Amino acid sequence: MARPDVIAVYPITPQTPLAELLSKFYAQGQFDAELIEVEGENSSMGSVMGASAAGGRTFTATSSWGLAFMHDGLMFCSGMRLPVVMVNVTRETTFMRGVLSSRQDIMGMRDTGWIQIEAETCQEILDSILMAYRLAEDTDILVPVVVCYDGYYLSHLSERVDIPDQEQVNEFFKPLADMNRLRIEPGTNLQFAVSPLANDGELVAEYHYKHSQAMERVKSKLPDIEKEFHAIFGRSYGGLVDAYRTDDADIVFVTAGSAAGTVKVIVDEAREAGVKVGVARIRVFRPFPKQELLTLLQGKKAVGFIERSACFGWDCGHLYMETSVLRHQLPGVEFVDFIEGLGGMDISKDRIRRALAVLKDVASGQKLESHVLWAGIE
Amino acid sequence: MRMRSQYQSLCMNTDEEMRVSKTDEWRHRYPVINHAKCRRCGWCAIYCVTGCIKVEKDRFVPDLNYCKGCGVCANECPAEAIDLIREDVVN
Repeated sequence: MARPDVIAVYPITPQTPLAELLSKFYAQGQFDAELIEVEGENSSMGSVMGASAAGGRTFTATSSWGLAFMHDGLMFCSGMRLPVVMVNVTRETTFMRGVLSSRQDIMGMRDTGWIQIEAETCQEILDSILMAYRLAEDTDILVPVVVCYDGYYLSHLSERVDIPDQEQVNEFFKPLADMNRLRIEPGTNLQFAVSPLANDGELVAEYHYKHSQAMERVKSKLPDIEKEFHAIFGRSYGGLVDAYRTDDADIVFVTAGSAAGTVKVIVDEAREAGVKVGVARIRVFRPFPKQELLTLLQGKKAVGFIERSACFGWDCGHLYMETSVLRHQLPGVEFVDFIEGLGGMDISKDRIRRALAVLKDVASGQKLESHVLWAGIE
Repeated sequence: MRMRSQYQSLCMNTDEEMRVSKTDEWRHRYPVINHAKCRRCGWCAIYCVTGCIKVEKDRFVPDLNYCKGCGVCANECPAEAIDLIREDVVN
């Protein structure tokens, strides 16, 4: 529906259903794109970068080790400010090449300069990909976007999805602007690597600064894009942070991805019992929604982070680690980190009930031996 | 803030200086082919790392815009027809 010109994809669990279906639709002649079945993810990133630099709309998809294999490409792509849209189906990056679900792989790409969006439902995946093209291709942004979703929970289970009409998508999309793409002339060669211009420190700082500012502009652009999306498709997701029943809450869960669905169920259950609890789902992880979280968490008694990844070197999870930057502006707010969901462990309702019990204790003044609790260890 | 460039990314600069870049700057020696000894086998051109040795009329000629002075051509020449000459000025 987004009508890409070039798709380059290599299969990797749990992205495989996506890659296989794309190949099937292509073989059936259902869309008009160049589908390149590359020999590895490093090539898939290289292919879409080349296509994007030449002015085409592109798409690729991967997971954990595939993401790692294209790591150099990720950095080139964002530095070159190419509007590539990629899907990453999240999976563990662990010893022994486990195939299980977690958010560890996308945490490894935090510093590659990509915009990172995480979906809670299958509907949101579809909608986020459409919005991703608008974000990436916006001439004030021009930063590649990765739409992430949980391996297995969202990639291998089925959900009813409202598929929009092509006319609606056409109305939502802008034509691909001529964004000063490469002019390739026969007989000349192309050189991007070692150039005096690429090794000029002040100039490098300038380009990094511009890239950083472009990512910040996502924060103001996304709400407008969502309004347009809502007007055409009838759905929206709350912008950078999807806040559910947080306004009058004393306790707030902070999470990302499909786990938020389970947390919302427990929030409703607890509310029935008179507990004032809510959940803030971080939908856009890069750029990090500092201001939104600050406003949302102000004055809360306790905040519980439901993680699906471990931040090595900080001895906690990533959501806790990044939100901790705001701590000095959140006096009196207790943080507790629940590292759940590693290695594909289910984040069940009972796990959330247990976390809520801990948060209730903390909110009422109880001291904890440790504020970082690892599921599977105690 | 002082911005020196109008571009958002270096790769958007598609001026001549960005598109064509010579790779000769750091060379400290260059090949000279003795065309009398040369057997015209073409191995120097095949082995050349930058692919800069080309055929001009009946001779093999290195393009010194792209020669990095690695010396593989001289090393591989079966006729030992290639000498590597030190540059006068080394960057």
